[in-house]
Amino acid sequence: MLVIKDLRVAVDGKEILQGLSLDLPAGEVHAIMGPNGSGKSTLSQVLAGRGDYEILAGSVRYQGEDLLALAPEERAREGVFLAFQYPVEIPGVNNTYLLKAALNAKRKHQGLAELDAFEFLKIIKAHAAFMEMPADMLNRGVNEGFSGGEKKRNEVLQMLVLEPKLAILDETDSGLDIDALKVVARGVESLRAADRSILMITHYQRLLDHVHPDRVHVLAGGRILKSGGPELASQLESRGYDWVLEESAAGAGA
Amino acid sequence: MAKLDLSAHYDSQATALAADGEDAFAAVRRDALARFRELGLPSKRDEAWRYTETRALSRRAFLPAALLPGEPPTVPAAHELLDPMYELLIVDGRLVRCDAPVSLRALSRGDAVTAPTAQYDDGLAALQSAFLSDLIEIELAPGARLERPLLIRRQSSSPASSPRIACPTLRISLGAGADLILVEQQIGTPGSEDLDSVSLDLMLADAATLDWTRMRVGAAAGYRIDRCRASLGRNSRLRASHLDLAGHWNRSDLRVVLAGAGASVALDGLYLPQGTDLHDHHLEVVHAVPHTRSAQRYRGVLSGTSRAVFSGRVLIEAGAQHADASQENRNLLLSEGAEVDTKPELEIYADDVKASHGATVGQLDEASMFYLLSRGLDRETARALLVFAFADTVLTGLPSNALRLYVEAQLVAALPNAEVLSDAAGVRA
Repeated sequence: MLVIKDLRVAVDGKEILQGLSLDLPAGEVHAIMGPNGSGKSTLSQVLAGRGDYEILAGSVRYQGEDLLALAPEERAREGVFLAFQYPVEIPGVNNTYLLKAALNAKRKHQGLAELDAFEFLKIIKAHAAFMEMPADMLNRGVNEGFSGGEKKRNEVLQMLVLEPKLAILDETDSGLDIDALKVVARGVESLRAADRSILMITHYQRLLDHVHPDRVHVLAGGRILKSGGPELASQLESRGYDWVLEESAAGAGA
Repeated sequence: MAKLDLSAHYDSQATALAADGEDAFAAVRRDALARFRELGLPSKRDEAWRYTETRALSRRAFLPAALLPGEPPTVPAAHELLDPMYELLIVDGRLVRCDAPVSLRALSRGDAVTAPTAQYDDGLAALQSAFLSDLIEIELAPGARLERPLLIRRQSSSPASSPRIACPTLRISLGAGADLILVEQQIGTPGSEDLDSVSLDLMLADAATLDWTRMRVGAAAGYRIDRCRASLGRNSRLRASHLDLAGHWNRSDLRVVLAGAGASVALDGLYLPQGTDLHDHHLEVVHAVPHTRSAQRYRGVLSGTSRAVFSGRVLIEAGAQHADASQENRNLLLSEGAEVDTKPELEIYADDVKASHGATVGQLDEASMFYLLSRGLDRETARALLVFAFADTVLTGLPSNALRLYVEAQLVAALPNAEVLSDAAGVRA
């Protein structure tokens, strides 16, 4: 599904990703963990297509295609979805309108007819109920006045409606209380499918208690330093990141 | 183009007007014309006109609409506003029809009245009085409340060979506790280069309520200047939306005096100059007594090489304790050639007040843009959505959903590419 090779990315002349490689096969859920400043958010933004990053080297293949050659809106229509760490508030733009415009943009791209208002409302109401979001939130401005937890729920709601092939969750667990975390986790878990891949970027193990990853990668200094099974997450939780950094430094020195 | 001798031109027009028969406004006209001769047209040397281009006015020899022969043509009553409304129609500055259960006095040339003398802020104001056409007085009795909104429609008849200057004066007074929804619609006539210069006096007695929407729609040619003075009594309330949805040269001067304790005013404004348009709003709110509130919220979307001016002055006089004043002016520049001059101004002489003001000028927010793109919207739609939402935010105060729908349709017509929005009314939160 997603193959990243030796990706080097700079922001304002500073190299943030320094040769990152990652293989995320279809049907799998991977977690990327790492300390602050390791390049986690840069990775998610680059995958979604944010413009102010300079790609220095490397490649990103998505379903065999060159992902970096696509504009952000093309990536979205091809099935890439980023749940933002800090979703923006857009006062004046109705949440439901955005969902409908997004879904219809994707359907149009797939050669499908646009959904009429009735069909669309049926879909969105079912998903909103599943995410335990009150109906009035759907008619407010996009994320306008939402609490941190409500914004994250809204991101997952959009993800459920758009049914991406590649879902990237950027610290979707941060700022959630335990109840909200369970709802968000349930939403993500419900997306697990053989033809879909999920990349969870997180600082903590919390989300991984509810959504079990197939693989865990440690990102530090702009590179994947270590990869392993789900047990790696618990090790990181109890021992922190330092031992991975030391191990890696020792490996490099040897 | 040869330089016009404006004084000579307007002198000869005034002479023609006087020869046509002495009328009630003759004395006012003579006095006003004399002032115009002294003042001339305002220019950039005048503080209130520093950013406002008036050269076009000095190159045109407008003919007074009051001088034009015959009755103004009838204009069909049908209007696209969705609410049923009472209607008052003014064409070329003259009252054509009134279909409203209000006490109305329309004074034209020939009526024997003593017109009041006025003080003129500038030469244009003097010129306005020098060619005063109709004086229309509307009065709502104490406690009266109109069942429907009152629509005042203003427009030019078909374009004349020479541009006209039309100068009606309206006075609207609301008795104690009276309640009125007023909708003013200025409709541009294609090809018309007329100068539509209107003076409006609003008087709100104690506990009166006025909801006032003014919108300029239609073709972009022509010059429109509105001057309004509003005086608010105890516990009276004025809510206003001033919507410059179209217009080549629009100027609005609005002065609100909060004269009674408990009076409050909320002013919303929207201007959308495009091409080479100029939209100019000069506001002044005076808190003259304690316990008064004012709020200004003006937004502009500029494209092409258009210009906008916002000057908002809030004056809290000594002794006007517990005044609460806020002012916000936000501008979105959609092109590099557009320019806005914004000047919020707070002048406070009382010590126990709450006041805030702020102005911004910027482009579309990059983060919002990226968010919409990342959801699969194309650039054009994302852009239109953000611009529409920015402008639509100031329409929340409109008195009815039907009116809002009408204004939004005008908004879609005026904003670049907004027609890509599948359902503009559905956009809004």
